[in-house]
Amino acid sequence: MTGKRILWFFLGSACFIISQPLLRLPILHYLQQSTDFMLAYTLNPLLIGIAIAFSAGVFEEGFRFLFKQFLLQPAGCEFSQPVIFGLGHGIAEALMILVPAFMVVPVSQLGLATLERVLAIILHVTLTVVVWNGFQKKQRALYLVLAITIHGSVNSLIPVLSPFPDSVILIEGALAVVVVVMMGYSLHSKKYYIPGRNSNEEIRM
Amino acid sequence: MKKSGCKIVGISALAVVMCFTLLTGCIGQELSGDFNEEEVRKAAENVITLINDQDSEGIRELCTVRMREALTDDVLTLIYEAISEGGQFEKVEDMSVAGTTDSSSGEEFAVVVAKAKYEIKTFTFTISFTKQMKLAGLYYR
Repeated sequence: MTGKRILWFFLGSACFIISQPLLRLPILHYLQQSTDFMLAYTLNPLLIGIAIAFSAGVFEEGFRFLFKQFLLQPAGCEFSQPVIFGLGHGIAEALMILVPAFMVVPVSQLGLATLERVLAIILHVTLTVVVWNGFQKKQRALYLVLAITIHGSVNSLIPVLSPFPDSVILIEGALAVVVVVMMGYSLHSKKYYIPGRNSNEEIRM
Repeated sequence: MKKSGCKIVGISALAVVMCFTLLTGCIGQELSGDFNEEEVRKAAENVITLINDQDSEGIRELCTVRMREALTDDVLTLIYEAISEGGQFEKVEDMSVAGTTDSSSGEEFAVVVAKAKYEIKTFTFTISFTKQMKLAGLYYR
Protein backbone atom coordinates (compact mmCIF):
# COMPACT_ATOMS: atom_id res chain seq x y z
CA MET A 1 0.00 0.00 0.00
CA THR A 2 1.40 3.42 -0.90
CA GLY A 3 1.84 6.23 1.62
CA LYS A 4 -1.11 8.02 0.05
CA ARG A 5 -3.37 5.05 0.70
CA ILE A 6 -2.12 4.66 4.26
CA LEU A 7 -2.99 8.31 4.80
CA TRP A 8 -6.53 7.76 3.44
CA PHE A 9 -6.94 4.94 5.95
CA PHE A 10 -5.81 7.09 8.88
CA LEU A 11 -7.94 10.01 7.72
CA GLY A 12 -10.92 7.62 7.81
CA SER A 13 -10.01 6.64 11.38
CA ALA A 14 -9.55 10.30 12.35
CA CYS A 15 -12.96 11.10 10.82
CA PHE A 16 -14.61 8.53 13.12
CA ILE A 17 -12.67 9.66 16.20
CA ILE A 18 -13.58 13.33 15.66
CA SER A 19 -17.21 12.75 14.74
CA GLN A 20 -18.06 10.23 17.47
CA PRO A 21 -15.83 10.05 20.60
CA LEU A 22 -14.75 13.70 20.41
CA LEU A 23 -18.04 15.33 19.42
CA ARG A 24 -21.28 13.34 19.28
CA LEU A 25 -20.79 11.12 22.33
CA PRO A 26 -19.88 13.99 24.71
CA ILE A 27 -22.92 15.95 23.42
CA LEU A 28 -25.17 12.91 24.00
CA HIS A 29 -23.65 12.40 27.45
CA TYR A 30 -24.35 16.05 28.26
CA LEU A 31 -27.95 15.71 27.05
CA GLN A 32 -28.46 12.57 29.13
CA GLN A 33 -27.68 14.60 32.25
CA SER A 34 -30.65 16.85 31.53
CA THR A 35 -34.02 15.98 33.09
CA ASP A 36 -35.78 17.51 30.06
CA PHE A 37 -34.04 15.00 27.80
CA MET A 38 -34.73 12.08 30.15
CA LEU A 39 -38.38 13.07 30.42
CA ALA A 40 -38.66 13.29 26.64
CA TYR A 41 -36.98 9.86 26.33
CA THR A 42 -39.33 8.37 28.96
CA LEU A 43 -42.41 9.67 27.17
CA ASN A 44 -41.23 9.09 23.57
CA PRO A 45 -38.60 6.32 23.60
CA LEU A 46 -39.10 5.40 19.93
CA LEU A 47 -38.98 8.96 18.59
CA ILE A 48 -35.96 9.90 20.69
CA GLY A 49 -34.28 6.59 19.81
CA ILE A 50 -34.71 7.37 16.11
CA ALA A 51 -33.45 10.94 16.61
CA ILE A 52 -30.33 9.58 18.38
CA ALA A 53 -29.87 7.10 15.52
CA PHE A 54 -30.08 9.91 12.94
CA SER A 55 -27.66 12.07 14.93
CA ALA A 56 -24.99 9.40 14.27
CA GLY A 57 -25.73 9.73 10.55
CA VAL A 58 -25.51 13.52 10.67
CA PHE A 59 -22.17 13.51 12.50
CA GLU A 60 -20.43 10.63 10.73
CA GLU A 61 -21.62 11.42 7.21
CA GLY A 62 -21.19 15.16 7.80
CA PHE A 63 -17.57 14.66 8.79
CA ARG A 64 -16.93 12.22 5.94
CA PHE A 65 -18.20 14.97 3.65
CA LEU A 66 -15.99 17.63 5.28
CA PHE A 67 -12.91 15.39 5.06
CA LYS A 68 -13.51 14.80 1.36
CA GLN A 69 -14.30 18.48 0.76
CA PHE A 70 -11.21 19.87 2.47
CA LEU A 71 -8.59 17.14 2.87
CA LEU A 72 -9.05 14.77 -0.04
CA GLN A 73 -9.09 16.95 -3.12
CA PRO A 74 -9.59 16.91 -6.03
CA ALA A 75 -13.19 15.72 -6.13
CA GLY A 76 -12.53 13.21 -8.90
CA CYS A 77 -10.59 10.22 -7.58
CA GLU A 78 -10.13 6.49 -7.95
CA PHE A 79 -12.58 4.05 -6.38
CA SER A 80 -10.04 2.82 -3.84
CA GLN A 81 -10.12 6.19 -2.04
CA PRO A 82 -13.63 5.87 -0.50
CA VAL A 83 -13.06 2.15 0.09
CA ILE A 84 -9.83 2.70 2.08
CA PHE A 85 -11.23 5.77 3.89
CA GLY A 86 -14.36 3.78 4.84
CA LEU A 87 -12.22 0.88 6.05
CA GLY A 88 -10.28 3.27 8.30
CA HIS A 89 -13.54 4.69 9.65
CA GLY A 90 -15.18 1.30 10.22
CA ILE A 91 -12.13 -0.39 11.72
CA ALA A 92 -11.59 2.49 14.18
CA GLU A 93 -15.21 2.10 15.32
CA ALA A 94 -14.88 -1.69 15.57
CA LEU A 95 -11.75 -1.37 17.70
CA MET A 96 -13.44 1.13 20.00
CA ILE A 97 -16.40 -1.22 20.53
CA LEU A 98 -14.74 -4.65 20.47
CA VAL A 99 -11.46 -4.10 22.35
CA PRO A 100 -13.17 -3.33 25.70
CA ALA A 101 -15.54 -6.29 25.11
CA PHE A 102 -12.65 -8.67 24.35
CA MET A 103 -11.06 -7.68 27.66
CA VAL A 104 -14.02 -8.95 29.69
CA VAL A 105 -15.65 -11.64 27.50
CA PRO A 106 -13.89 -14.58 25.78
CA VAL A 107 -13.51 -14.13 22.00
CA SER A 108 -15.54 -17.33 21.45
CA GLN A 109 -18.60 -15.69 23.02
CA LEU A 110 -18.41 -12.62 20.83
CA GLY A 111 -19.21 -14.32 17.53
CA LEU A 112 -22.37 -12.33 16.78
CA ALA A 113 -20.76 -9.06 17.90
CA THR A 114 -17.78 -9.71 15.62
CA LEU A 115 -20.07 -10.54 12.69
CA GLU A 116 -22.04 -7.35 13.34
CA ARG A 117 -18.84 -5.31 13.32
CA VAL A 118 -17.73 -6.89 10.03
CA LEU A 119 -21.12 -5.90 8.53
CA ALA A 120 -20.76 -2.42 10.04
CA ILE A 121 -17.28 -1.99 8.50
CA ILE A 122 -18.67 -2.95 5.07
CA LEU A 123 -21.57 -0.52 5.61
CA HIS A 124 -19.10 2.28 6.45
CA VAL A 125 -17.20 1.56 3.24
CA THR A 126 -20.40 1.71 1.17
CA LEU A 127 -21.65 4.88 2.92
CA THR A 128 -18.31 6.51 2.14
CA VAL A 129 -18.87 5.54 -1.49
CA VAL A 130 -22.30 7.26 -1.35
CA VAL A 131 -20.77 10.51 -0.02
CA TRP A 132 -17.93 10.33 -2.55
CA ASN A 133 -20.41 9.68 -5.38
CA GLY A 134 -21.82 13.14 -4.75
CA PHE A 135 -18.38 14.59 -5.53
CA GLN A 136 -18.03 12.46 -8.65
CA LYS A 137 -21.51 13.38 -9.92
CA LYS A 138 -21.42 17.02 -8.74
CA GLN A 139 -24.49 16.55 -6.56
CA ARG A 140 -22.77 16.79 -3.18
CA ALA A 141 -25.68 17.89 -0.99
CA LEU A 142 -28.04 15.28 -2.46
CA TYR A 143 -25.66 12.39 -1.80
CA LEU A 144 -24.80 13.71 1.68
CA VAL A 145 -28.51 13.72 2.57
CA LEU A 146 -28.85 10.24 1.04
CA ALA A 147 -25.95 8.90 3.15
CA ILE A 148 -27.37 10.49 6.33
CA THR A 149 -30.78 8.96 5.58
CA ILE A 150 -29.37 5.47 4.97
CA HIS A 151 -27.12 5.66 8.05
CA GLY A 152 -29.92 6.99 10.27
CA SER A 153 -32.39 4.39 8.98
CA VAL A 154 -30.00 1.50 9.60
CA ASN A 155 -29.26 2.74 13.14
CA SER A 156 -33.02 3.18 13.70
CA LEU A 157 -33.43 -0.57 13.29
CA ILE A 158 -32.34 -0.88 16.94
CA PRO A 159 -35.10 1.22 18.58
CA VAL A 160 -37.71 0.09 16.03
CA LEU A 161 -37.05 -3.67 16.19
CA SER A 162 -35.93 -4.01 19.83
CA PRO A 163 -39.47 -4.54 21.23
CA PHE A 164 -40.00 -7.62 19.01
CA PRO A 165 -39.13 -11.15 20.14
CA ASP A 166 -35.83 -12.38 18.62
CA SER A 167 -34.98 -8.74 17.98
CA VAL A 168 -31.22 -9.44 17.77
CA ILE A 169 -31.71 -11.82 14.84
CA LEU A 170 -34.14 -9.38 13.19
CA ILE A 171 -31.73 -6.44 13.56
CA GLU A 172 -28.66 -8.36 12.36
CA GLY A 173 -30.66 -9.92 9.50
CA ALA A 174 -31.95 -6.53 8.36
CA LEU A 175 -28.40 -5.11 8.62
CA ALA A 176 -27.08 -7.96 6.47
CA VAL A 177 -29.74 -7.29 3.79
CA VAL A 178 -28.91 -3.56 3.75
CA VAL A 179 -25.18 -4.34 3.50
CA VAL A 180 -25.70 -6.67 0.52
CA VAL A 181 -27.83 -4.03 -1.29
CA MET A 182 -25.28 -1.31 -0.52
CA MET A 183 -22.41 -3.49 -1.77
CA GLY A 184 -24.26 -3.97 -5.05
CA TYR A 185 -24.84 -0.22 -5.29
CA SER A 186 -21.17 0.52 -4.52
CA LEU A 187 -19.91 -1.87 -7.19
CA HIS A 188 -22.35 -0.28 -9.63
CA SER A 189 -20.92 3.15 -8.69
CA LYS A 190 -17.38 2.16 -9.66
CA LYS A 191 -17.99 3.59 -13.13
CA TYR A 192 -18.14 7.15 -11.71
CA TYR A 193 -14.51 6.98 -10.61
CA ILE A 194 -11.21 7.47 -12.36
CA PRO A 195 -9.88 4.03 -13.31
CA GLY A 196 -6.64 2.96 -11.61
CA ARG A 197 -4.17 5.43 -10.20
CA ASN A 198 -4.46 9.08 -11.01
CA SER A 199 -1.22 11.01 -10.86
CA ASN A 200 -3.07 14.29 -10.47
CA GLU A 201 -4.52 13.32 -7.11
CA GLU A 202 -3.12 15.11 -4.15
CA ILE A 203 -3.87 15.22 -0.47
CA ARG A 204 -4.07 18.59 1.13
CA MET A 205 -3.54 18.66 4.88
CA MET B 1 -13.79 27.54 0.16
CA LYS B 2 -16.12 27.42 -2.80
CA LYS B 3 -19.58 28.98 -2.45
CA SER B 4 -21.29 25.58 -2.89
CA GLY B 5 -19.00 24.10 -0.21
CA CYS B 6 -20.02 26.88 2.23
CA LYS B 7 -23.68 26.19 1.45
CA ILE B 8 -23.35 22.47 2.10
CA VAL B 9 -21.40 22.99 5.34
CA GLY B 10 -24.13 25.44 6.40
CA ILE B 11 -26.81 22.85 5.62
CA SER B 12 -24.88 20.22 7.61
CA ALA B 13 -24.54 22.53 10.60
CA LEU B 14 -28.25 23.32 10.41
CA ALA B 15 -29.03 19.59 10.30
CA VAL B 16 -26.94 19.05 13.45
CA VAL B 17 -28.71 21.90 15.26
CA MET B 18 -32.14 20.61 14.16
CA CYS B 19 -31.27 17.09 15.24
CA PHE B 20 -30.33 18.18 18.74
CA THR B 21 -33.22 20.61 19.03
CA LEU B 22 -35.45 17.63 18.37
CA LEU B 23 -33.53 15.65 20.97
CA THR B 24 -33.61 18.24 23.70
CA GLY B 25 -37.13 19.42 23.75
CA CYS B 26 -40.52 20.17 22.40
CA ILE B 27 -41.33 16.48 22.62
CA GLY B 28 -42.89 16.27 26.08
CA GLN B 29 -46.65 16.74 26.15
CA GLU B 30 -47.98 19.76 28.02
CA LEU B 31 -49.29 19.04 31.50
CA SER B 32 -53.09 18.81 31.36
CA GLY B 33 -55.11 21.59 33.02
CA ASP B 34 -56.27 19.04 35.59
CA PHE B 35 -52.81 19.18 37.17
CA ASN B 36 -51.11 21.99 39.01
CA GLU B 37 -47.40 21.93 38.09
CA GLU B 38 -46.26 23.34 41.42
CA GLU B 39 -48.33 20.74 43.27
CA VAL B 40 -46.85 17.98 41.10
CA ARG B 41 -43.30 19.17 41.82
CA LYS B 42 -43.97 19.27 45.58
CA ALA B 43 -45.56 15.81 45.47
CA ALA B 44 -42.48 14.42 43.69
CA GLU B 45 -40.16 15.99 46.27
CA ASN B 46 -42.35 14.47 48.97
CA VAL B 47 -41.97 10.98 47.43
CA ILE B 48 -38.19 11.37 47.40
CA THR B 49 -38.28 12.51 51.06
CA LEU B 50 -40.40 9.49 52.03
CA ILE B 51 -37.93 7.17 50.27
CA ASN B 52 -35.02 8.84 52.07
CA ASP B 53 -36.85 8.44 55.39
CA GLN B 54 -37.68 4.81 54.48
CA ASP B 55 -41.31 5.59 55.32
CA SER B 56 -43.09 2.62 53.70
CA GLU B 57 -46.50 3.46 55.14
CA GLY B 58 -46.24 7.05 53.97
CA ILE B 59 -45.36 5.91 50.45
CA ARG B 60 -48.21 3.36 50.31
CA GLU B 61 -50.72 5.99 51.46
CA LEU B 62 -49.87 7.98 48.33
CA CYS B 63 -50.14 5.04 45.94
CA THR B 64 -52.81 3.87 43.54
CA VAL B 65 -54.15 0.39 44.32
CA ARG B 66 -51.93 -1.20 41.66
CA MET B 67 -48.82 0.55 42.91
CA ARG B 68 -49.63 -0.43 46.50
CA GLU B 69 -49.76 -4.07 45.42
CA ALA B 70 -46.47 -3.75 43.58
CA LEU B 71 -44.61 -1.96 46.40
CA THR B 72 -44.32 -4.88 48.79
CA ASP B 73 -42.03 -4.74 51.83
CA ASP B 74 -39.39 -6.72 49.91
CA VAL B 75 -39.48 -4.33 46.96
CA LEU B 76 -39.28 -1.27 49.22
CA THR B 77 -36.39 -2.79 51.19
CA LEU B 78 -34.48 -3.24 47.91
CA ILE B 79 -35.20 0.38 46.94
CA TYR B 80 -34.01 1.68 50.36
CA GLU B 81 -30.83 -0.43 50.15
CA ALA B 82 -30.03 0.85 46.67
CA ILE B 83 -30.70 4.48 47.57
CA SER B 84 -28.71 4.26 50.81
CA GLU B 85 -25.68 3.24 48.72
CA GLY B 86 -25.71 6.86 47.51
CA GLY B 87 -24.98 8.15 51.03
CA GLN B 88 -26.63 11.15 52.65
CA PHE B 89 -29.29 12.96 50.59
CA GLU B 90 -28.22 16.50 49.69
CA LYS B 91 -30.76 18.10 47.33
CA VAL B 92 -32.98 17.80 44.28
CA GLU B 93 -30.77 19.33 41.58
CA ASP B 94 -33.14 19.48 38.65
CA MET B 95 -36.73 18.54 37.86
CA SER B 96 -38.83 18.38 34.66
CA VAL B 97 -42.57 17.85 34.45
CA ALA B 98 -44.78 16.80 31.53
CA GLY B 99 -48.09 15.12 30.87
CA THR B 100 -48.83 11.83 29.16
CA THR B 101 -51.90 9.80 28.29
CA ASP B 102 -52.12 6.04 28.60
CA SER B 103 -53.02 4.90 25.08
CA SER B 104 -55.10 1.92 26.25
CA SER B 105 -57.09 3.49 29.12
CA GLY B 106 -57.02 7.14 28.00
CA GLU B 107 -56.04 8.12 31.55
CA GLU B 108 -53.85 11.21 31.91
CA PHE B 109 -50.77 11.27 34.10
CA ALA B 110 -48.23 13.84 35.24
CA VAL B 111 -44.68 12.55 34.84
CA VAL B 112 -41.74 14.01 36.77
CA VAL B 113 -38.05 13.34 36.18
CA ALA B 114 -35.99 14.51 39.16
CA LYS B 115 -32.24 14.42 39.65
CA ALA B 116 -31.49 13.91 43.34
CA LYS B 117 -27.95 14.49 44.55
CA TYR B 118 -26.67 12.26 47.31
CA GLU B 119 -23.29 12.34 49.07
CA ILE B 120 -21.76 9.62 46.84
CA LYS B 121 -23.86 9.60 43.67
CA THR B 122 -26.81 11.15 41.90
CA PHE B 123 -30.05 9.23 41.32
CA THR B 124 -32.62 10.07 38.68
CA PHE B 125 -36.19 9.38 39.75
CA THR B 126 -39.08 9.08 37.31
CA ILE B 127 -42.33 9.54 39.23
CA SER B 128 -45.86 9.63 37.84
CA PHE B 129 -49.13 10.78 39.35
CA THR B 130 -52.78 10.34 38.48
CA LYS B 131 -55.17 13.32 38.34
CA GLN B 132 -56.05 12.56 41.98
CA MET B 133 -52.33 12.97 42.75
CA LYS B 134 -51.94 9.29 43.54
CA LEU B 135 -48.50 7.81 42.98
CA ALA B 136 -48.87 5.68 39.83
CA GLY B 137 -45.25 5.01 38.89
CA LEU B 138 -41.82 5.07 40.50
CA TYR B 139 -38.54 4.32 38.79
CA TYR B 140 -35.00 5.23 39.74
CA ARG B 141 -31.54 4.79 38.29
